[in-house]
Amino acid sequence: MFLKIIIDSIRFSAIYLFGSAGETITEKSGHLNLGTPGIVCIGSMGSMIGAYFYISISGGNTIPFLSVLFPLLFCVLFAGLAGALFSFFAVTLNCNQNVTGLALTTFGAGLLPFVASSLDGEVTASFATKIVKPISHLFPKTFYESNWFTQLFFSYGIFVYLGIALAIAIAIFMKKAKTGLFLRTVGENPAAADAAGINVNRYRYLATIVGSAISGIAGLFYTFDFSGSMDTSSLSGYGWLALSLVIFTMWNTELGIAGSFMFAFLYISSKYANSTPAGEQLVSIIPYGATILVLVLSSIFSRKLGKAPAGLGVSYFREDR
Amino acid sequence: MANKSILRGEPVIRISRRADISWKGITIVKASSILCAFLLCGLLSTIIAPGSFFSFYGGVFSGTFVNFDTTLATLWDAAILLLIAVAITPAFKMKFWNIGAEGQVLMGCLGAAMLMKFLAPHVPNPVAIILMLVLAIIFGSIWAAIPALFKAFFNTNETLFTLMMNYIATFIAAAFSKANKAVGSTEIGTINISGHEGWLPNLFGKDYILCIIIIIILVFGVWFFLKFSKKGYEIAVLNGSVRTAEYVGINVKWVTIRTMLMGGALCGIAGFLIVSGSAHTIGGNVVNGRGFTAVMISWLGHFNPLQMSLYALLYSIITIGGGSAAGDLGYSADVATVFSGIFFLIILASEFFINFRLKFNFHRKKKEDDNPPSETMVEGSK
Repeated sequence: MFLKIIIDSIRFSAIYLFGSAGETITEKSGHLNLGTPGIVCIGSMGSMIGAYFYISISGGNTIPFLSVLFPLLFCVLFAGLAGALFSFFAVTLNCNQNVTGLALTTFGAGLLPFVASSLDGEVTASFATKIVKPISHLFPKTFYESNWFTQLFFSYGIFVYLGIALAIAIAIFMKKAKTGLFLRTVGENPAAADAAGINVNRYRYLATIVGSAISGIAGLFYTFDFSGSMDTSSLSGYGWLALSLVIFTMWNTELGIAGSFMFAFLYISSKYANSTPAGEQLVSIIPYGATILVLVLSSIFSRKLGKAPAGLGVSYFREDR
Repeated sequence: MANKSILRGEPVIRISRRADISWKGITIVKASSILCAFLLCGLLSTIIAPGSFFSFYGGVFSGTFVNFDTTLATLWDAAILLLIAVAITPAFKMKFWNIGAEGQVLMGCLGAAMLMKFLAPHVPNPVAIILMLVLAIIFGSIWAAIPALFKAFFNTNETLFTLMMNYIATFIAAAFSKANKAVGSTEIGTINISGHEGWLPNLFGKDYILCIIIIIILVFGVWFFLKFSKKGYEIAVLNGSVRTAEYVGINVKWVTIRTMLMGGALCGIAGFLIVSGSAHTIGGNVVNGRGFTAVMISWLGHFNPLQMSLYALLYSIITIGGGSAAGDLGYSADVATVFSGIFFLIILASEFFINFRLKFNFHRKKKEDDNPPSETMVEGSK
C-alpha cells in the first residue's frame, strides 16, 4: 500500500510539475500570470479536441504514437494561444496583469466544461481505450508489473518522464544559457534590459507563450493520464496549487520536481488515510500553508534565499521611463 | 539589433500615453465596449445554436428582469458583488494588491455560520444576528490583517500571500461543513431550516430587499470615507507616493494595516449577508468565486463605486441571464462563465483606448534618409 501511495504521488506530481515549470518561465520574464489555472483548463480542452479530431479522422484505427501526438499538439496550440492572449493584454495593451490573469482564469475554467460537454459522447467514450492507454503507460504491462523496482520507476506514462526532463532542462537553460540570462534580466529590470538592446516585449511574449504551452500540458496529463475521465471539475484548483508551487520552489524548476512530489504526496496520502472527511480537508491546507511559510521566510531572509523577480507583475512601457 | 527598427523608418502605429481623456470620451469607449461584449456573447450563442441570435437576448431577459423575483435575485447578486468590490477598493487605492477577498468573505461566512448553528437556536433572534455580524467582522478582519502585517513589517508579497489565504479559508470552511454534517448527508446543508434562527428577516415578504438596502448604505459610507475623510485622504496620498506619505508624517505601516482591517471587516459583513440573508449554509464554495470577480470589478470600475455598480450589474445579467438563455436554447449552462470571461476581457481591452493614444502615420519615411537615427532622436526629444 505504501508503494501504491508513492507511485500515485509520482504520477500525480506531473500535473504540478508541468503547471509550475511553465509558470516559472512566464514569471521569470516578469509576467505574474494568474491565468495559469485557466490555461491548464484550456490545455485540457485542447487535448480533448485533439483526441476527438484524431479519432474522427482515423476512423477508429489509431496508432499509439499519433494518439499521443495529436492531443499534445492541440494542447500546446490552445494553451500557447491563451498565453499569447495574456501577452497581448499585458504587453501590447498594457493592462493590469492581475486583472488580465483573473479574467483569463474565468474564461478558461468556463470554456473547459462547456467544450467537454458539447463533444459527441460516442467518440469520447472511446478515449479510454484509444487515447488514455498509450498516454498513461510507456512500457508494456508485463514488464513493469514484475517487481517493486520496475513498478516504482517504469509504470508511468511518457509525460511523467517528459516533465522531469523538462524541469531539469529549464533549470539549465535559466542558469547557463545566454538567452536564459537575458530572460531573467527582462524579469528583474526591464528598463535595464531594454537599454542593453534586449527586446523586452519579444522576450515577454515568447516566454509567456512557451510557459503557457508547458502549463497546458498539465491539463492534458490530468485528462488522459491521471484521471482518464472527462470529469474536470477540480482541475482549476490544481492550477492554483501549481502557481503556489512556483513560489514554494523560489522560481527553481529543478526544486519543483521534489516540491511537486511533496504537494502530490500530501494530496494522495490524505485520500488513502482513514481520516474523517473534515480531516481530509484540513490536510489539504498543508501545501498552501507551507507556501505561505516559504513566502514569509523568503521575504525576511531575502538576501540568502533569493527573491521573486523584481519586475514581477509590473508592465513595461518604454515611454514611462 | 536596436538600430534595425530605426533604419526601417518610422512605425505606422505609434502608441503614447494619454495625459487625460474627456468624460465624454470615456463614456463612448466604455459604452461601445459593453455593447461589443454583449454582441459577442450573442454571436457565440448563434455559433453554438444556429439561428439563436435574438432568442439569446430573450433568454437573458427572461432570466433576469422578467418579473419582480428574478429582478430581485439579479440585483442581490450584483449588490453582494459590489459590496465585496468596494471592500477591497481602499486597499487597491494604496496599491496593496489584495486578491484575498474570496477568503476574507468566506471567513466572514464561517463566523456567521458557526454562531448560526450553535448559538442562534438558544437566544433571541436579534441578539443572534448581531453576534453573528460581530463574529463575521472579526473573522474577516483577522484574515485580512495577517497578510497586511507581513506586508507592513517584512514586505512580503501580498498578491501571493492573500491568494494562498483564500484556499486555506476554503478548506477550513469545507472542513467545518463536513464536521457538522446534516443527517443523511456529507455536508452541513441548510442551517436551522425549520426555525429560521439567525436568518435575516424578510422585508415586504421578499428575500434580499433588506440585504440590498444594507449594502447600498455601506457602499455610500465607504465612498464618503474615501472621498471626504482624513483617513481616506491618507490612502490617496499613499497611492501617489509612499515617500511623500512618509515625509508628511503618515505612518505607512499603520495605514496599511488599518485599511486592510477595514476591508476585511467589510468582507466579513458580505460573508454575514451571504450566510444569514441568502445561502443559509456554509461550505468551500459558498462565496462562489465572487471574491475574484470583485477584483476585476473594482479595477475596471476605476475604484469608483458608481462605475463598479454598473459593472457588477452587467456581470450579474450576463451570468444569470446567459445561464438561463443557455438552458432555454438547450446547451450547457457552463457557457455563462465563458460569457463572463469574454465580458471582462473586452472591457479590459477597452481600458487601452482610455489610457493610450494611437497615432497612425501612413506617410512614413522610408530608409532612404541619409541619417535617420538622428532625426528620430530629434523627434523623441520634442
